[in-house]
Amino acid sequence: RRELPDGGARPNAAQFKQLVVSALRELHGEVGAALPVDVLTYEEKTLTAILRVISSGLVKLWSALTLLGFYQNRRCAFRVLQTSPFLLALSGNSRELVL
Amino acid sequence: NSLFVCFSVGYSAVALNHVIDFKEKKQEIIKPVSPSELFPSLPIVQGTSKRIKVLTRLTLIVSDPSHCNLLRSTSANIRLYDIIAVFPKTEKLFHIACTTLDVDLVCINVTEKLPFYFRRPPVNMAIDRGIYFELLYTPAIKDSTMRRYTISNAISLMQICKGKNIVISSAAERSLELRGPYDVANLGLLFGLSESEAKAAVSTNCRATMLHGETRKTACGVVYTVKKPRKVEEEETTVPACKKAKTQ
Repeated sequence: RRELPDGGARPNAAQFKQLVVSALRELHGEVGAALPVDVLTYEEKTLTAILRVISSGLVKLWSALTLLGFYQNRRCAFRVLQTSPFLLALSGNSRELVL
Repeated sequence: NSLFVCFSVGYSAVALNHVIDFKEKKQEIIKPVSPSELFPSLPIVQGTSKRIKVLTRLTLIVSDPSHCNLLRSTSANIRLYDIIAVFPKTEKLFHIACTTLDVDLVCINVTEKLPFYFRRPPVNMAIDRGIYFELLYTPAIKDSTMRRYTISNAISLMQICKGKNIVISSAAERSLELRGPYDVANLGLLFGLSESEAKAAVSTNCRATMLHGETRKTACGVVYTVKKPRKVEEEETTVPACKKAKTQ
């Protein structure tokens, strides 16, 4: 799950996918941009998305998103909230469990 | 503001940096701003019940051996900083910093091509002394040429030190330039660290640096006791000697 805190621009789903692919292309080149990434859900209100990628490509995708600095000449930051191989695990944050 | 972002993302200790550049003359080390003045109340770390620690840190950019004299001076202000880092610009200074200087961190330049190559002997000595090498990741977010320099310098460092004693930190000036701890650990994987080393670069190595700074601040000498044999006899003999001294 990724959260994108922004200065003011709000991308829609297609622009978000374009942003992810361009981040991969900047860091890992054409091979990185060819990595199959799926956007499973995208909420425009909170700018949160769930992405799916093959497990061998996780490091590339994650590092590309971390190092992305600009979107449409504005500063932006990707914040990865959770990573897990199972979709069900993304529904809760295990660190915030109150026992 | 940026600190509140850190808290929400999951860091447990933050160090505020103060950079001193020695090219200008008459640089005086000013007292660090006490963290309690800046934030009246610190929020609680996510997941534990303790508050975030805010430390102060000093970075010295040295390009001349005479600048190192400041570290040996008895200026009171330098003792007030929790962590001291040095940023050597030449190979000789790198050697001096790794072997003799009393610092906690050695910063590795990521914004331009390194003018010197790392050699194994000073790096190994620094690892033995408990000094950590620091890499910054914020330039990698800002500019693509700096990204290349960051990665190339980091990889050359990894080849020499085999991934030990590395700390990755951000020189963030805005809250948007900060990244979460797991993201930064992933960047360590890019630099060539193994997974456990990358996670350590963000967590255990940083904590070790903090403790190193604390020991540097507090330790002035070491006293150790050695068990002596024939202790009882010695005590008896010293008592009459004292009595003798008094009468004399």
